Parts: sequence; C-alpha cells; structure tokens
Amino acid sequence: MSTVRREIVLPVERERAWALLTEPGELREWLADDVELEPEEGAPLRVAWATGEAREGVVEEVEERRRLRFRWDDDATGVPSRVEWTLDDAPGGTRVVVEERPLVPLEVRGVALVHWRPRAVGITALARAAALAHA
Amino acid sequence: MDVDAVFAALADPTRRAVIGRLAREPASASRLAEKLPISRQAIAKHLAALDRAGLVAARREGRETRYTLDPAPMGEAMAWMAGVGAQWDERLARLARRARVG
Repeated sequence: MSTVRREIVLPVERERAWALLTEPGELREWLADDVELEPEEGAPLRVAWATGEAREGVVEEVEERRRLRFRWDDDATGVPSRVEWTLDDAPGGTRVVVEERPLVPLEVRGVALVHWRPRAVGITALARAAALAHA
Repeated sequence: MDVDAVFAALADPTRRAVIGRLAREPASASRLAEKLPISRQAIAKHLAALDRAGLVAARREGRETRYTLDPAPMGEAMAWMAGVGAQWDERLARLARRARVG
C-alpha cells in the first residue's frame, strides 16, 4: 500500500544504466543539483537542490548493476521513505523500475489530517524518529 | 465532499504534477507555470478543477493568488503518492534525456 512505482526503458546497456544511477556526476544531470552517493551499503546519501532543499539518507543495499536501495528523509513532507531501483535487460536497452514507499503509516482518508502542515505532512517528529530508528 | 470530483481531478497527469509541486510548497499560478511545461492559462484551468474538488485552497496575497494543497479530501496517503509519483515522472524524463545524449 502507498507504494509509488514507475518503470522506464533506457536505450543503453546495463553497465551504462548503472552508471547513470550511481555516479554523482550523472545523478546531478537528472536527480538533483548536488548529489553525494556511493553505491556501498551503509554509505551516507545527500541530495540537494539549488532551491535550498536537501535530503539526507543512507544506502541500504547494493547489488552491482542490478539493484540499489536507499532510504531518505524529507523535511518538505515530514515523511521518510525507502527507494529501490532495479535494473533488468529489456528489448532495446535496460529496464529501470523505481519504487518508493513511506517508512511511516499514512492515513488513507481523514482522521490524522489535522496534523497536515505545508512543510510537514501529518507525521509527528516522534513517530518519524521512531520510524527511522527501526527502519 | 464530492468523491467523483476528487477522482476526476486526480485522473489528469498535469493536475497530479501540480499537486506534486504544491505538496512541496504553496505557489502562485505563475510560479507553477515556470516550473511545469504548460502555459499559465492551462495551469489556471487545472487549479480551478483542483479548487472545485476541494484539493487546493486559494489565498490572495497582494497582487498574487497563492495556492496551498489541502490533502484532506484525498487522504494523506494519496497526497503523498501523487506528490512522489509526479517527482519521479519529472526525474525519469530527465534521466531518459540523459541516457539518449550518451
């Protein structure tokens, strides 16, 4: 539930697709204005935009040319999440599947929405800290 | 609340992109037009649809009208998914362009 999933076929070999997803120089071309990422389990992740927005996280799983999983926080919504990129051979190139899911429960409808604020979506700081600690 | 209006509003990818932007910060129609590949006029039409569905609140500030996302009618989970999904749509479009240039 609440998983966002996107799929795209890039017209490049797996090796090149992996580079596009894991080399900071490439990531700066499409993910954010500044990216610090090492495809290594436990490596810190930092992504920042020219607008001043920044997100921090940690790399959780790496399977060379196949899978990268990380989690990151999000001050704009207050909802930390986990992202997984999976690469596969596909006709004409490499299929990249992106999945992102929240690390805290979100209300499907009503109830907890009194907490919604433009800069922090409905999650108390405590719940968020707990979710990160147990993630 | 009109559930049909909410689903109709969310069915359109451009409106989801607008929701994605507003999930990050409140913005005026001009500001949204700068950020998204559509005209200010089209943005205004989409904002009106979102307003009818109760998904955005308009507030006059000086000469500008600023729009704030009100996720209540769709629920927190759908608001999050619409915002995050719109961000990946933008990022993956840039990634595809990058892959094509080499």
